[in-house]
Amino acid sequence: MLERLVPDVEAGSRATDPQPLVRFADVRLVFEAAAADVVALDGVTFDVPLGQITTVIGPSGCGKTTLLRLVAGLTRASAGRVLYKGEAVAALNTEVGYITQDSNLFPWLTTVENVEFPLALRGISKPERRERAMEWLQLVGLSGFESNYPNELSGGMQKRVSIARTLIYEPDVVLMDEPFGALDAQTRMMLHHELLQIWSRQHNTILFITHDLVEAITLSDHIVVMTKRPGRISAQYQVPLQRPRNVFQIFLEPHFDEFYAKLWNHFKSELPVQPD
Amino acid sequence: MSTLKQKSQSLPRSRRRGDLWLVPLQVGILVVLLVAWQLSVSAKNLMFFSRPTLVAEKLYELFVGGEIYRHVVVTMTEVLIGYALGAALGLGLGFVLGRSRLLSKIFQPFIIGLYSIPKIALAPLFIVWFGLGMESKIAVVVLATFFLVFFNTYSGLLNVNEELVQLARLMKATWAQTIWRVILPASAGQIFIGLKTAVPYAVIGAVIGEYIGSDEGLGHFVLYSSQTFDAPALFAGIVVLVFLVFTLNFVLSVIETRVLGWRNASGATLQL
Ligand SMILES: Nc1ncnc2c1ncn2[C@@H]1O[C@H](COP(=O)(O)OP(=O)(O)O)[C@@H](O)[C@H]1O
Ligand SMILES: [Mg+2]
Repeated sequence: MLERLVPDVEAGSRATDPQPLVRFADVRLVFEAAAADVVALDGVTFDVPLGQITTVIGPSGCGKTTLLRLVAGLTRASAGRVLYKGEAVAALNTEVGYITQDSNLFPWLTTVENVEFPLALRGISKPERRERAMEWLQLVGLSGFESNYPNELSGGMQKRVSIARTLIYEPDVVLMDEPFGALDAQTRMMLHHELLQIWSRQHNTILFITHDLVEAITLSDHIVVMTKRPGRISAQYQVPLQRPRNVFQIFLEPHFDEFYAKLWNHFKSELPVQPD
Repeated sequence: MSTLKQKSQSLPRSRRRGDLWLVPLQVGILVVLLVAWQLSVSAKNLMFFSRPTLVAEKLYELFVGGEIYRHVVVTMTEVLIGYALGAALGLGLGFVLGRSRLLSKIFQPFIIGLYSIPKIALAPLFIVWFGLGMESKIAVVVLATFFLVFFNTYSGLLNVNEELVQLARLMKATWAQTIWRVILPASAGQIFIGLKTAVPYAVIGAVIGEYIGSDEGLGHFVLYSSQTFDAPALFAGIVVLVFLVFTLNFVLSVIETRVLGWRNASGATLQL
């Protein structure tokens, strides 16, 4: 708890990455409230390297969602800077794709209409956008459900639609806010698998938020650990697991055990009650 | 899969197969009420309560003789013009105040103040301002319609999920696209509630205006029938008014079903 900003040795090289896609530079964010101001983020510094999956992990209320909103330009930092491609984010950042915690599909649009929504905004012709949306539906395993409305889909299916709707317009960076938090374990594993499959082909830059250690290890190249409020960075790690990874048996991947133990030890030291 | 497809393309709720008994039952209740009315009115009270058969005869007479059309046209014109103006104003202002926190803060007390005035009570004032013609009735209809449409539009907009708006903006939607493709569909349900509840009030507004001062329109016809103790004509006038409200609501329902068809999706949740 007392140590702040202890970059892991392995992550050392990351901090000096010449041009990361996103850089948080000593970001502080205070929510002003009548009763007492809430310091949501304090001295947050880390990079989101191009083409990698970076995961921020931390307890709830530590400011993870706020980090994503800063990158998207939906919130402004009180101090410090959030850089996107080297420039401070000063307005709505329409180069990001944002997959929110709730799927947030448009309930009045069918599955395929939801997926083609961003293309429709860009004036892409109906036949073309329909074709591309159908391809994406196939990629996320939803062929046959194109004319169903969101309220007819299960939580996992809604998540898939929301992912397809974001990836279809190929944003430079994909922000994912605990997207699989509300799903059952099997569905979640399927979605991890599908996400990594898609990523292995496109190498999107992904900034992923979770509070689940195993999920962070399964997906990421780079893990940023935050402390509870006020949110600070307490460590950064490079994930030593090789790709491609077998998400269904992630525990059997070489280096999983030792890396998990290392992360867990770090986490344990921050718990109010020390488990054995 | 196939069952799912069927469900999502099914008819509006009231016409689903399980509800087929509903319409006969409703017609049955109506028939029972009419028969009860027919049988319970004694000769002594006939002058006050009339009878369904007499009302039906009168309606036939009025429509065949053509005497009623003039009144229907006048009232319809007042209602349609007043309703269109009131709804347009209500939608416009509801939209602006629903999206602008500042304007809504500034105007809130005024609107609550205006809301607490019984609009119908202003009808005599409008007669003074706009005279005995259609204008004064249109003014009453505008006012009655405006508030219902305004309040429902306003609250519909306040209830739009802001995350959907922000997501659309992040996906590069212009403000026009955001309004048309997100804000309107998201608030359409509430807006239609306003549009539909305003219909009877619009008709009431026109009729009250006509009661107060007018020599034509269905309100005038009903009032005149009462002054001449012509109970069948009075009831016939009311039947025509009810029919008018039903027709307008039906038109709106058809539009609503087209706009909000997605709401009839079954809501059945599928597993993976
Ligand atoms: N708009 C806001 N106004 C005031 N406080 C806020 C606001 N948004 C978030 N917070 C506070 O900031 C902290 C961080 O929030 P958030 O980023 O949502 O955390 P997380 O996503 O990690 O759960 C929380 O304590 C939350 O209560
Ligand atoms: Mg959050």
